[in-house]
Amino acid sequence: MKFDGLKSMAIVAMAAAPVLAPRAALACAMCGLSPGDHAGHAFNTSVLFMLSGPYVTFGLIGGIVLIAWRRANRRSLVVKASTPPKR
Amino acid sequence: MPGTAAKVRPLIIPGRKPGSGSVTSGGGDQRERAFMSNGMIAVLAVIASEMMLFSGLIGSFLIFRLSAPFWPPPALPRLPIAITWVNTLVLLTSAVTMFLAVRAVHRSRQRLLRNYLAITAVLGTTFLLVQGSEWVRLVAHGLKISSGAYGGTFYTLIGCHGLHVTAGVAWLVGVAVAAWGGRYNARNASTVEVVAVYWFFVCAIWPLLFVLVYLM
Repeated sequence: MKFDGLKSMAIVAMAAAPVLAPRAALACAMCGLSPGDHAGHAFNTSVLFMLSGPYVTFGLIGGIVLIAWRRANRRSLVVKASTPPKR
Repeated sequence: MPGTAAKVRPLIIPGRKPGSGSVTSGGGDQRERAFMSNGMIAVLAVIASEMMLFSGLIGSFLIFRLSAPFWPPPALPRLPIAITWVNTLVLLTSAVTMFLAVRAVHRSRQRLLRNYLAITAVLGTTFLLVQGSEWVRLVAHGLKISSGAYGGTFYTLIGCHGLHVTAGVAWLVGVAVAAWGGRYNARNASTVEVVAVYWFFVCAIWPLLFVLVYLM
């Protein structure tokens, strides 16, 4: 797929929207908070923490599976290399 | 499709007995097994769900903690930090002994394996006993699960972790008893590896809870 100029500009504008107009870009109703709003900040922190949960979980487990797979592959190669060729 | 089978890379390694607690494929005189045992896959699934559980519990704790003007509330007792520091060290030490147990089983050092498993179980039990005595004192000082958000979140979070440690200790005792009978060695180490992964999870989540609940 080839990007033409207009499409590229639209993508750049969408990517820049959160930076240029943060209030408008925020999807969360609790995000436009006054400095003393403890409950709002507490909810925001909690949401961010829970948002990271699935990523940490699947990253960790994916990492463990990858390490096990690579280790097994390495062992397999060592066994193959040490096995004498069949006649 | 006859051509497809040759292109698929098998997730198996040679050198293990077929059917030894894992899905196997292949045949002939070459022994093969899956790269990860069924027990390990199961415990990883359990850990994933437990991590999501703790994520939700910690999320609710953060809401109560950060929105409260005073924490802990003035009328309620403070949590014992010094003894919990020592208890944290006990639990982290048990993770080290568990690691040494896994290393011992990979080297088929039966005596070392038995000793390290027993030490890990004893350290886990010590952690639970210290937590229990701490709870008894806190209840005596008036901190109950009904003492508002402070008591509720404390007992729910720490109690949930305590239940996981209890399950881990029970499992460890079972594995240690089997190890006493010489059941595990370098070729049959998957049970020890699986219980170790669960124990590492239990130990890894505690420092986070300690910082959030006791120190923050």
